[in-house]
Amino acid sequence: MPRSGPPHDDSHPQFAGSESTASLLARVRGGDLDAREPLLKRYLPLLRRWAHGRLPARARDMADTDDLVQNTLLRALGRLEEFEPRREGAFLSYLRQILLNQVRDEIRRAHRRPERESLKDQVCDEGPSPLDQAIGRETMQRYERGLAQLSQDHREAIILRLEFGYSCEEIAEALGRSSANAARQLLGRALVRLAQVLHESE
Amino acid sequence: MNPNELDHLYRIAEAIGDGQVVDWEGEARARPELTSYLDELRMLETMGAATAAVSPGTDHVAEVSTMGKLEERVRTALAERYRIQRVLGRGAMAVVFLAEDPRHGRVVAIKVFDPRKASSVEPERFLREIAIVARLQHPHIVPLFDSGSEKGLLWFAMPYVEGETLRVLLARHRQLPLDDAVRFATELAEALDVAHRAGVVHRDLKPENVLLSSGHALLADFGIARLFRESQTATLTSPGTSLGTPNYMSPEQVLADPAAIGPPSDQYALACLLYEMLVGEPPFAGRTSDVVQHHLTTKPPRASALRPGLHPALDAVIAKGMAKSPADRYASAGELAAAARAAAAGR
Repeated sequence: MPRSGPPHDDSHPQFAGSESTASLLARVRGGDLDAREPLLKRYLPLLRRWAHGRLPARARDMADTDDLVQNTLLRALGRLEEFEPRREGAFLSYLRQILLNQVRDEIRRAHRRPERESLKDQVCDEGPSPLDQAIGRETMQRYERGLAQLSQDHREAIILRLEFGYSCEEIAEALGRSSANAARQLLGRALVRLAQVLHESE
Repeated sequence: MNPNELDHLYRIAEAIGDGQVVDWEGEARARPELTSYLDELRMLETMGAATAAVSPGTDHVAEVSTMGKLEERVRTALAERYRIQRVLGRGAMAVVFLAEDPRHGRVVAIKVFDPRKASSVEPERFLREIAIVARLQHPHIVPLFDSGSEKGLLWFAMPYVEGETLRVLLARHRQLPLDDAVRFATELAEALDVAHRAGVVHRDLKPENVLLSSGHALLADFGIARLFRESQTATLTSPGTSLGTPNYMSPEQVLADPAAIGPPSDQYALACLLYEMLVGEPPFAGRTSDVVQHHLTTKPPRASALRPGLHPALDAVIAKGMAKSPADRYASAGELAAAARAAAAGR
C-alpha cells in the first residue's frame, strides 16, 4: 500500500504545479471538481495582483481584494461550460474580463456607500488605482475600448504581456504558438494594431 | 501607412514586448510622421511597466516563500514539543507536516491552518472545538493527540497513519466490491454514531476525509468544517459556492440552514458515499450549481441501474439516507448501515 499522510482538503495538491491549464480546464468541464483547486491555486495570485493594480487605494484592502478575486474565480469556474475557453490565454482573458466588471462594480459600490456620504471630503474620490496613477484613468478607459476592437489573438497577447507580465516563451505556450519568436512577432503586430486603433479613435 | 513604416513600428513594438529600452525621443526625431503611433506605443509600454511595478517578481516565488515562511514559523512555534520533518500534504486551508514527538517517541501528523485563511477563526473557539473532538474515542475515528494556538498558528496533532484515502482507492478502482463498500459504510456509521451521541457533527464527510489503514476506514477532521465554513461564508457569497465539494452536501447544508444541520446531514453524506463506492461516481456530479440544485430537488439515481447485479433493495437504502427532509432519513447512521448490510445479503 502506498504511503500517504492523513487526509487533507485537497487530494492531489502535488499536481497543482505540473498539470497543464488546458488539461485542468478539460477536467473541470467534464465535471471533475477536484480540478478546480489547482486552477484556483495557479491563477489566484496572478489575478490578485492584477486586481490590486486596478482598485482604488481605499478599496484595496488586501483581504477585500482576495475575496473579490476568489469569488470571481469560483464563479467563473462554476460557469466554465458556458464559455469553453480551451487555451490558457483565452481562459485568463476571460477571467480578467469578469474581474474587470467586478472591479468596476466595486468602485461604483464604494461611491454609493451611504456611510461615506457623511464624510464629504472622503466621498468624492476613492483615490486613483496604481495604474490610473501611472497612465491616467482616461487613458486606461481608452485602452480598454481599443482592446475590445482587436482580434482574439491580438487581444490575448497584449493582455498576457502588458497586464500579467508573461514572457514571450509563456505567451507562446498560453496561445499555442510554436516558439517564443512567433509569440514576439504576434505581440509586435498586436501592439501596433492597438496603437492604430487608439490613434483612429482620437 | 506604408509597409516600410509598418515594419518600423513592428520592430519597436517587438522591442517593447521583449522589455528592451526604446529611445522614444530619438525615434520621434527620426520618424516625425509616426509620432502619434509612437505616442500610443509609448503609453502601452508605460502600462506594461506599471503592471510590473505593481507586481514585482513572479507570484510563484512569492507563494513559495510564504510557504517556506509558514514552515519556518511552525518549526519555531512547536520547537519545544515536536521536530518538524517534512510536508505531507497541502490543502486549501491547511498544511500537514510529518513530525517527531520525542517526548512520547512517536511519529505524528500535525495539521496547521494557513494563518491567512484562518485569520477569522478565534483561537479560543478553535481550541474549544478541538477539545470536544479530542474526547471522541473510537477505533474508526482518527484520534487527536494535541492542539494549540502558538504565535497565531492554529494546529492539531494526530497519529501519522500509514495508508491512503478513500479518494485514492476510488480513483484506482472506481467501483469497490460490494462487501468492502458495505463494510466501510458500516465502520463510518459507527464512528458517526459515536460522534453524534457526543454532540459532534462531522459536516464534511467525503472520500478525502476517510483514511484506509490495514483495510479499515478511519474518519478524520471531525467538526473542523464548521469552524472554517462559517468563517468563510462571508467571503464565499453565492450559495453553493464553497471551496469544498458539494457532492456530499445535504439539502439543509446547501441551504446553509444552521438549525437544520445535524446528525442526519452526516447520514446523507454517508449515503452519497455508499453510492459512490458502489457506482464509481457520486450520485450527483457536474457543475457546482447543478449539483447543488440536484441535492435540493432531484431523486438520487438508482445504483442498481448503473451496476448490474446490485440488489435493488440497496437503492431504497440509499434513497432513504438521501431523503430531502432530515426527518425522513434513518434514525441513525448505524440504522442505515444495518439496512445496507441486509440489502446486500439479499434479505
